[in-house]
Amino acid sequence: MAEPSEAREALRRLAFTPARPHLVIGLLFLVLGLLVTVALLRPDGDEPWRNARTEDLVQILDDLGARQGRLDAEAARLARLQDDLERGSTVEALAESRRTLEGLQVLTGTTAVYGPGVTITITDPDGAVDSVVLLDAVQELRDAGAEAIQVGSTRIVVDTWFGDGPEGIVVDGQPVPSPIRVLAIGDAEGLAAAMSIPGGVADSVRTRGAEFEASVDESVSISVTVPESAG
Amino acid sequence: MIAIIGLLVGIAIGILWHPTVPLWLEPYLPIAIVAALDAVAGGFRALMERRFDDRIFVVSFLSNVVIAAFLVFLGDQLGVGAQMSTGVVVVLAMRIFANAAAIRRILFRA
Repeated sequence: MAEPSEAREALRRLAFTPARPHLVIGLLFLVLGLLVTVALLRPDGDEPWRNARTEDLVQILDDLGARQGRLDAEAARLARLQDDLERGSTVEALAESRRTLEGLQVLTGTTAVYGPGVTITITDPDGAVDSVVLLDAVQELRDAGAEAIQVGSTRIVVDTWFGDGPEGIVVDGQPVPSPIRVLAIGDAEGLAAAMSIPGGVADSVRTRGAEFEASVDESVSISVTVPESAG
Repeated sequence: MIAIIGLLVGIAIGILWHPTVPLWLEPYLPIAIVAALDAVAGGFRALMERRFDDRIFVVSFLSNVVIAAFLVFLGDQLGVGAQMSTGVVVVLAMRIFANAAAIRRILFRA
């Protein structure tokens, strides 16, 4: 331990003697002064919270958190809305429209139809069965829920007409060959039952001396279509 | 003498040049300053005890700064940068106080 007087002496020597070997030390102090100055003169920047107190910062953080929560909720709500619009309403509406379109295509006869149904054969060598009876049969089939009907080689649609020509029944201008074949697709049992009710189509055909035969088929094919432009 | 001149020149350069600290260096600046101050305090104490060695002073100054900066860097990498900075500053401040106490005892016998 040095004496205080000696220490003071050393201090005096250090302060007032040209210190030759202390060049590096001077350099280090220069660096230190530079660092301190730089640290103290650091640009304040434009962040007002650089010198804010902790409580203030916590308050600001809370506010920001609450705001973020609100915005998150809003974003989630909008995302749900978008979801509903894309999948829920629009796509579902589109699928519904497609189903409606398919149904309408079947009804207007612009597409081929396969499915269970009945095949009706009317054997009428005398020509006793006229268009009225055939129209009754078609109406009866429609009432029974037939989705698609074909008479002879003609698809029965909304604007199909029935008439009597010199060679027999005419449907949409096409003569119906004998024996008359009617294909109907729908609830097969229901269609068959509708044909055979007492006083129905089958009875009226038979009273005219013709043969009526209805057979239930698992797969009836109606491939005749009406051109779409015709509608 | 030269130490005081160096210090003044450094301050003058800092004020006049007004350098901007790179962002990656920002966290190390206060640590480096405190480490340097610790080295200065240690050197001053050694001077008072008449065992000052400029070589030791230079080495301790540089190693103090480098080690302190490295510790903070390590803390940053480990995700405890703020705590490490605090720890380093606390330790260095304690050393500065200890050195200051020793200097005070020698100078004023108190």
